[in-house]
Amino acid sequence: MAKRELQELTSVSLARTPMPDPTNFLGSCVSVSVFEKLGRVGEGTYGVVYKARDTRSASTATSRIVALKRIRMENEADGLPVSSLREIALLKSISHENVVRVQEVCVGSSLDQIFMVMEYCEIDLASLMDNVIAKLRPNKFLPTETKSDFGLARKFSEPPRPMTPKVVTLWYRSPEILLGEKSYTVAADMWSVGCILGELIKNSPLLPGKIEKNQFELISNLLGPPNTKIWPGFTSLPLSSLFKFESQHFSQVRSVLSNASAQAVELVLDLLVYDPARRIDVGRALRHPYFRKEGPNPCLPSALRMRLDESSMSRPSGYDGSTKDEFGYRRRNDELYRGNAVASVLKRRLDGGDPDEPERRKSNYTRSSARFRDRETEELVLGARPFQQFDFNNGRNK
Amino acid sequence: EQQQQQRPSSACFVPSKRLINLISRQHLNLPSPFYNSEVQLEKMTPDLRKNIIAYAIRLANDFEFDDETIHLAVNYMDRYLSSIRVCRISQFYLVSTACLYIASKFSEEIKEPCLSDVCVLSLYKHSQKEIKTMEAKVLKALRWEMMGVSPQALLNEILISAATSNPNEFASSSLH
Repeated sequence: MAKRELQELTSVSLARTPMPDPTNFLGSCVSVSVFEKLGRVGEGTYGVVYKARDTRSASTATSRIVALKRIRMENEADGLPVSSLREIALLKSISHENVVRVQEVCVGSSLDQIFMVMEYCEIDLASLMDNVIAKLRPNKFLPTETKSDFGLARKFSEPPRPMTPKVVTLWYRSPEILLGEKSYTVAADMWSVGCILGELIKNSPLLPGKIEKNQFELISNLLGPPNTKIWPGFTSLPLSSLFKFESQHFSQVRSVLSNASAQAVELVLDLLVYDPARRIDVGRALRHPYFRKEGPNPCLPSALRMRLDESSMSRPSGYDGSTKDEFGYRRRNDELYRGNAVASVLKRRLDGGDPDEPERRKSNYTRSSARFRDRETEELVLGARPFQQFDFNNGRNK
Repeated sequence: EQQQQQRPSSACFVPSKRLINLISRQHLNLPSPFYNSEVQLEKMTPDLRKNIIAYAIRLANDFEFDDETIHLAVNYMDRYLSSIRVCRISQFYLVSTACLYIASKFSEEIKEPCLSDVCVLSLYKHSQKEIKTMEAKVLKALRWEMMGVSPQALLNEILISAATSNPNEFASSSLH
């Protein structure tokens, strides 16, 4: 009788009662020993990534290849780090082609051995992604309204409330966070986007600071120091007295990004504005002339993917002539291979996107073709002709 | 056209994107309603659950946590108990402490406590090591699925939708 009442209570929305899977009472997490380690892919501030094979399937031919990311447990005094916890929870709840899927989480014998099992992407994807995209992972994004799909949005409604300090990789951290602003907004993400766009154009990190102080020095060297005219109220931020600002410099962005087009530099400058209130927002960034007036034009992911599939078939097999530069970037001598590397990134990453961002991302990476040195590679990867114009307003090709 | 004209009078408010998102997720990550009889073998009496949750709320108040954190912690606790049998009464409290600790890490932005504080405020019922081990066990049992839609979150969002979608109408309907 009691059961029936309960069932009636729980069947409000879906007319069914969720039940735990009785076959899976204890073993929710697999042991890491089911994966055969194939090699080390990369290492960063976030942990070590391995390539591994799942040995659970019968034959080696059909077994899936995964990337195992070991969570760095530096400060074990507090158990699992907050950032890892949020990262796992968010990545697990996001199912999107644009975001690396966390298929499961597995554990080793001791408490500090926790691995995220993710789909394995090609080696160059790993290096390119780790350096360019992964640093701005969802756990470091502010989950704001633009991220409403991530299920966290409910927490971050108006008015802005204090949020975790020390978010975002230092290189991409916005000046207001560096100066100790607690109620920062989504504009902090736009700063990060500016840093990443600059990095894509420059092909090396724009502001690779080592510590906070150094980071602010780099920013003020690049943009000139802030003053109350361009950023009213920055002196009232908690840490602003700690930083000493050099005498007047001019913005160096144009000379640093000398290989970029005028519009691209414009967009970077709009994104890297000191005052978060004046920084460009997502909507205006998407309407920026950079995406409209310069070819190749943004295109739909399906069109892009078709081209990419064609191009990846003609790839030379077994080529690996990579060297790493000081920032861990993999440099390829062979432009063709490099084209394919970018292609694999494009293919995996640019399909769809979260509601407000896909156009921007697609466009950015389509534009990354500017880095191909010769026209042949560009044609191979992105097609000889510009793609169909993407209609931002209707979300379909014209 | 007729439907459009009728709509404002029949619908109280237009649900926000977030509200729709929450509603579409509310069936995910729920505990089993029968875990007491099927998993815990009737060990979890109503009184015990009341005491455990009162304990969790007291602990959360000491840390000045958000209400949402408590809801999440209770969700985690129920889900853990839906899959793993607990033998001793003190273990129930340990599970509750660990769940609150996880929930605070996940949803508290600036007030995430350190483990030693949790130990102190729980009156040294459990050692740090116990809480850490239990934290790992809970996360495994939850399969790292940490999103939960609490009734309070839904209610909040409904009120926000109602207040922002049509302020005049909302005000007049609440007056009468």
